Amino acid sequence: MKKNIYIYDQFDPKKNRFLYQYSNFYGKKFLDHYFFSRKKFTSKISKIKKNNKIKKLSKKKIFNLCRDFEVKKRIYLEPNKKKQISLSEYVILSNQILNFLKKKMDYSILSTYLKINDFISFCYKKRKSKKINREINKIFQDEIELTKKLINVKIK
Amino acid sequence: MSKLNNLAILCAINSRSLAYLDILKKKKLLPSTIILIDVKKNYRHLKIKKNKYFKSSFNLNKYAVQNNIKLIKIKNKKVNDNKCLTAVKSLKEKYIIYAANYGDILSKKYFNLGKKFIHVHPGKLPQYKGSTTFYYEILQKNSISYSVIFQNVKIDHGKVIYSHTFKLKNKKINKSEIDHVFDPYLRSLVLEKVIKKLKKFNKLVGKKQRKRNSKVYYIIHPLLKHICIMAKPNLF
Repeated sequence: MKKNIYIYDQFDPKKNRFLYQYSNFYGKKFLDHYFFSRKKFTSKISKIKKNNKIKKLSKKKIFNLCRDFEVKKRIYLEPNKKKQISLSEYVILSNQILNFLKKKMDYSILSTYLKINDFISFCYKKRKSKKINREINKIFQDEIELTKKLINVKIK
Repeated sequence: MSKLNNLAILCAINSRSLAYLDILKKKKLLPSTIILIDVKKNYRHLKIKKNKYFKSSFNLNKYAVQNNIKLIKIKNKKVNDNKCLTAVKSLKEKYIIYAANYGDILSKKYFNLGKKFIHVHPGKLPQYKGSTTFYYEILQKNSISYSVIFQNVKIDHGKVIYSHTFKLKNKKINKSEIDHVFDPYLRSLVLEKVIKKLKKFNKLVGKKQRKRNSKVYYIIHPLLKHICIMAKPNLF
């Protein structure tokens, strides 16, 4: 594959606030690059079973967290607005959003979910230590499954 | 060429402004004054492509002289700079079409001037507030709507003057030109209807938006944008 046109997991959205604005249209090539990028990333991470012990977030909470991410490009801990949630918590959030989307498709939430996953990918690549949350693999497998399903439904 | 004495346009050089000015000229609905925010910014990714819908480039000085329109240039300033505010304040026109640089949002000060700022929003209101709602509406409803509103302090909350839903099955367009050609063109068609109303009644009336079903959308993820465009090959 020549130069990857799926660039959205290579930049920090907070430092590149126009990252998603007026994105170009590349046709099918873009979808190929997106899947390639996600698969290449997950192939480097070991697999682990999903952690089901985490408390389920309400619909309202998911909407609010997604709005926060869209506006601030980060999700901050409530008592201390300067400190953002950890990468593991972003992964948990991603899982929770996915479960919500599986029950009820909401394109606005789906859009934020993809951006959060881009951010997770970006953060993971930037880390020196790779010994972190092994659930990352699972969230990207799930994302690929979801987007493939959507493509099959919408693009016949 | 007939001009509307109570209409001005506040614009920058972008595809939206060009589409608006083009249709206003074609339909003889010209504004009396143009305020141009002339920013030398690198808009490489926003380059206006040659197209069959509106003139992708024209000399604004010539446009103003030929049509006897007053042209005020604000050099290297942003829309919320005092120089621009003063220029708007000094206008005799009450109605101002807003088409400044993308992402520029009018500050509170503008809404105390007794002017009415006309903005064409891509989406049905109050259901589709926010950004790139154009794509979300296609994904959800297979339609594209535009709402013409009077801007107020809260983004996309202003009174609705007019709204229209397009059925575009027979329209064919280069899919890479949607943001900078097709969208501005459709906006200009809806704007035309409103300015015709202004010409006829010499005033515009807006209707307050309902609070129910109101939802805010954020810039669509490029993957969803691709799915949306590729899903509707006949739509564009």
